[in-house]
Amino acid sequence: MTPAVRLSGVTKTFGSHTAVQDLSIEVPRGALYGFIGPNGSGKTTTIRMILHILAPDEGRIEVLGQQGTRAANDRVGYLPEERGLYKKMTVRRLLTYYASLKGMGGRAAKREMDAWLERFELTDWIDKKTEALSKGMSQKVQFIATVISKPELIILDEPFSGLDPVNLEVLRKAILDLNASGSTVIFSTHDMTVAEQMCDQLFMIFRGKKVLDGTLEEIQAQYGQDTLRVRTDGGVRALEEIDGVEQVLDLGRVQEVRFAGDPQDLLRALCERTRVHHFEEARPTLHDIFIRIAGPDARADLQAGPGTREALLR
Amino acid sequence: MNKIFAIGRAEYLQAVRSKAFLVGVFLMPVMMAGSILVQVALKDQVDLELRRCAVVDPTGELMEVLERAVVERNEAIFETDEETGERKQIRPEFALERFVPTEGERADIVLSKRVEDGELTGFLILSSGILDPDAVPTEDALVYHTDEPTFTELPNWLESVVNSEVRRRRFEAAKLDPTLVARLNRAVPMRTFGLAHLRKDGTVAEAEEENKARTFGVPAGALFLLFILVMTSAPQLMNQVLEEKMQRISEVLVSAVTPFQLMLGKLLGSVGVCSTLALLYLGGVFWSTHHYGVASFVPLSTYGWFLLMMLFALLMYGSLFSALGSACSELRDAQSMMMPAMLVLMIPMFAWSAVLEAPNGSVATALTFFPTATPMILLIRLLAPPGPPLVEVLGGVAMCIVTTLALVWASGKIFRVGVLAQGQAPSYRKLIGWILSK
Repeated sequence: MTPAVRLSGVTKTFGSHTAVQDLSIEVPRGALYGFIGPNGSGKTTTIRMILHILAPDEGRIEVLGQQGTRAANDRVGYLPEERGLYKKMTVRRLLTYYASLKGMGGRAAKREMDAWLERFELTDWIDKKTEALSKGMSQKVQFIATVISKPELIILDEPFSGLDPVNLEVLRKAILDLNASGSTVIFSTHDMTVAEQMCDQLFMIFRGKKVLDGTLEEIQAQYGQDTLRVRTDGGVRALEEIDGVEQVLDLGRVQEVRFAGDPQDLLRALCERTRVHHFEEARPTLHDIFIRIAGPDARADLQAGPGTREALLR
Repeated sequence: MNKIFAIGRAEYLQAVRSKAFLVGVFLMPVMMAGSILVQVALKDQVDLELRRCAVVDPTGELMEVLERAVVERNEAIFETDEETGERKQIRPEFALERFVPTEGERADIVLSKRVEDGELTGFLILSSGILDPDAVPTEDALVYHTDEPTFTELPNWLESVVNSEVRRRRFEAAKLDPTLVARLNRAVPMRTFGLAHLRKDGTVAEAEEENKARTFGVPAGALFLLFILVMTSAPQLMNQVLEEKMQRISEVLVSAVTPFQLMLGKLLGSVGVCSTLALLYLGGVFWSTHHYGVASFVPLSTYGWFLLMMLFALLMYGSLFSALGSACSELRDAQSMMMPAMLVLMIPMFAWSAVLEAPNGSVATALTFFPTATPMILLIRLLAPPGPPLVEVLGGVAMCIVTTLALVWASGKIFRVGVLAQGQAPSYRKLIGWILSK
């Protein structure tokens, strides 16, 4: 079976800026595939090329077996990062309209619409104008508009952005259910915790180039077990000027340390300086890996992004 | 194609179900009827305030004539209601007073002060030689001063009375009977007809008398209706596209349809809305012209030409304005970008009277082939007798087709790039770059 999405040597430039460079990825059918990367790294451009909203300058793009055309777009649902609704349209008309744009008949659209509205407890709002909906309700309606046509491939750009924890869980469950029923899901996120928890496979793009691609285990194995989690009385100052310490991520009471060498040497050095409460050898989290690849740019981006605090505190 | 119809249908239903549409449907007839009613109502609402006028008459003879005339006039300003028998004043009364300046006094200075003080509406200064039958009238023979030059009834009446008396005296001096002169001077009225035709069966189709409602009213009315329809649809399209961009809806749409399909769908919806409006208005015209027995004023071909030119105009301006909307991210930018397009749209409105004056003149011919003006100018020319030569009709229609296709194509190119662009609005030069890009 052909993959859901296959990009081969894809490059896209805007004037002198190369947004995506020589990118090759394969998203298997039925996968839940995470796109991660700092802002401006090329995620949205890649998604737009998959949807044929933008044409690549070089390379080939195949979506659901269709190469270089929009022929598969009716089988693709897309929720962009920046999304809105027609304020003056009722929920019913809006969803029917979006379904019709995907070539869906009125009866089938009504059946799906009713089921989704019931699932999201929005049935009573079906004849209300979207301007009357709360932000959470609007986001749910946007999600329904994306999946109402029962797409084989669902592309979600930052689907959890701005959601409260309750709605986040509702949406997460819906995405997992869709994936379990056979839909391929690609979603981009800044939330490394969500990516770790949900995705079968991950792809990271940084400055237009692919820097990670594989399962979480593969990626973690690639980055080794060089992360040490420590808690000491001295805090981050206790780690200063110790040979082998390459990077320290200060999380407040806990520090995550990348150490080149035997961890026992670090433990010994710390014990000489301060009282050690906790010392743990850990596999690098996706967050750590993200920071290692993207450095300070990514840190700033993560701090600005959704779910950051949650990710940092874990 | 189905998606274009789906978009067109959604746009159409969204528009015709809105309150704005219902208001729009009734607004134009209400405004037209309202303006007629206001005119009728104001016709009887004449300012009946007494109008005083001083007369400086160095001849010493004309004042008496004027006083007699004013008495006669003030008797004739009343109308008796046939039903109630009530006598009602319908024009303002005039009152004249003789003014003789004292030694060293300037009449115009003194009387101007009185006009400023509100005592007089104006004053008339006659020259001493005005009654000389052999004298050539000078520029200052009859001078009226006022601070209210828009009120013309009084000076017109004064001019008429003085001239009648001057002419009467000239005839007397020439020993001519004024009544005989009046009889000999009777004008011969002229009537304007169209052309008579010899039918195939040998009978004659008599020429029809010219009717201003048909020759001027129909083309002008059609042009204004077309202009109103374009003005209600094209800027509206621009606002919709802009709103979709501002509300972040465009990206979802262009993931389902191509930008060109999206634009065509919107154009289709817009044409549908305007066609609905046009059918309502044209239906009203059809019914009323038949009801009042003047159906020949608006032959069936008029409706056909109107709908065809409306289609071209809506596609041209609709695509242009939606492209401009797609290129902008803020209403303020869109408004400034709209200005040049509005000027282009206004060209036929600036030129329509000149075109109607000479429908086959050089101005009309030149404007017929000014691309974006063609539908409106050609429509006026088609509806104003005698109509343009066949070659110009065909040329005009061809120009419409070419311009429409070119504008839809160019707008589609702008739309494709613009609909996803954010930030500062591009310059017109950049828009041309978008059109020429692959």
